[in-house]
Amino acid sequence: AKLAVLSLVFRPRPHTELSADLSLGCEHAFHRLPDEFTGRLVLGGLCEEAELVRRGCSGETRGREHYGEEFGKITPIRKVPALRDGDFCLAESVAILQYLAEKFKTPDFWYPADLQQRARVNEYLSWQHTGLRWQGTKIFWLRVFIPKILGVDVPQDKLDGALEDLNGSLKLMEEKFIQDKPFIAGDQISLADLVAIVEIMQPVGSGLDVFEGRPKLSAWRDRVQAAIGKELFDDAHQIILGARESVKLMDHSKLQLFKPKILKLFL
Amino acid sequence: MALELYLDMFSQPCRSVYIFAKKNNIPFEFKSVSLMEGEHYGEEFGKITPIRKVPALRDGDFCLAESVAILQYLAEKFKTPDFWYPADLQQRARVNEYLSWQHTGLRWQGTKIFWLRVFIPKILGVDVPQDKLDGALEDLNGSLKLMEEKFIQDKPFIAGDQISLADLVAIVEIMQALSHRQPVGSGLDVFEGRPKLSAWRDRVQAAIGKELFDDAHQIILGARESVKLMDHSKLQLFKPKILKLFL
Repeated sequence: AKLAVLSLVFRPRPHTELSADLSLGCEHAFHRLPDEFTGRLVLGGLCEEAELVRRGCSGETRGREHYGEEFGKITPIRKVPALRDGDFCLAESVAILQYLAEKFKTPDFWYPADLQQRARVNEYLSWQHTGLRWQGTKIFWLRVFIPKILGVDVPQDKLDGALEDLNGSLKLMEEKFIQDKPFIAGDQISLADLVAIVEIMQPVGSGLDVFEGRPKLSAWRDRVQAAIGKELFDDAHQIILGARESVKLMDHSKLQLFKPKILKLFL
Repeated sequence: MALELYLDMFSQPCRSVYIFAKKNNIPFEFKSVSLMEGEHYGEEFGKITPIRKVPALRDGDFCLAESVAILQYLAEKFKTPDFWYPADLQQRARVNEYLSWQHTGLRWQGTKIFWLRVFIPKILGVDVPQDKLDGALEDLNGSLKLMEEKFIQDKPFIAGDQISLADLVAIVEIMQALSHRQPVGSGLDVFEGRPKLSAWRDRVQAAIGKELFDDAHQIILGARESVKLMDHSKLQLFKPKILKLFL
């Protein structure tokens, strides 16, 4: 099988390549996409229409692409997303977003030049690594991957603990980051909302409706979705929302190699 | 009203903010917040930031948490020398890449070692299973390996020829891991067998200035002694949470 390093070829800027994980959000170890997957991804104000191109590289088996030799040359951090711009390679979604915003001079609201507004965005971008991402990721693994792929039962107290942690995060989202504002930084969407929304959609992909009983969060989600555009939003999330079905179709044999590490991390 | 920085010098991110402000002669009022005594859960501090973590900044009416955001704010507001947070697109990206990675790439691993080797056994009086200690050490070693092989490589500093916010944020984490060294030589010297990391540490210390570096770290290097002197009763309240998090 061939290494599937997904590249987004931007037009009219063909020299920029972005390897994007659309299935499991950012900075996750596993990304799975069907062999014949091609599609259109329009990244809002960042670039023109992009075409997802499946790029074949030298032989690594599926499911371990990020451990392959080719991807290791892009980034030794071995995580997605990663960017290659000519000779310059970059990992870490936050750094990539900041780079793209600056390089392509995107509209100010994405990453405001104003000192205090930018600080608000930076504050969220920093907090979320351990404040929300970890909690959302853990739910996804405990509810979908570990039981359904690794076939390991997850103790109820672990599930309860993970849910309690996620609830704590979502409470802080509503009470501190959103409050009574339309968006995290104020009146307009920014990188903070973008990074937040994809994290919140992750546990939704595990079948957990995090918006239920949270009208403030739901209203914010609606505003973010409208600002991004429903078509693009749905396009980006279709894989995760179908995760519980699509994981059944995957080849799980390779994942068994990682079982001890996964169990150590989440259980 | 002067800029206020809410700090607990036991905390790695507080030390990076402290060092940065001092180094750049940014005037500030040091507001002490003792995490060990639960002061971050107090009503007053809750008004500064509902995130209830240190460091935090108050600049007039404007309050801010998260050391990375605070460092970026101070660098911009006080127009500190370019090398700290370079204007150059790719150099800045290198700094941002490190600042992003480190949250879960190094801080977590360093923090865990500190709690498992010092706080949980010595303060909470709970035995830590050897496999947990071994696992935590393995994780930290992985992080340090990536530090050397990806972030430092053969460069003087993470972003290149000069120190930046990345090195500042990195060095305080690594000092945290070092701080629990046992007196009888069985402790963890993260620099042992890592000449590249040691050489980088020396350069960072020289760039910061030994006096300021030592000043910022005196509390953490005396940690094993000073924790014994603390009022541990409040900490017992947090015992279940702590055990759930680290064990």
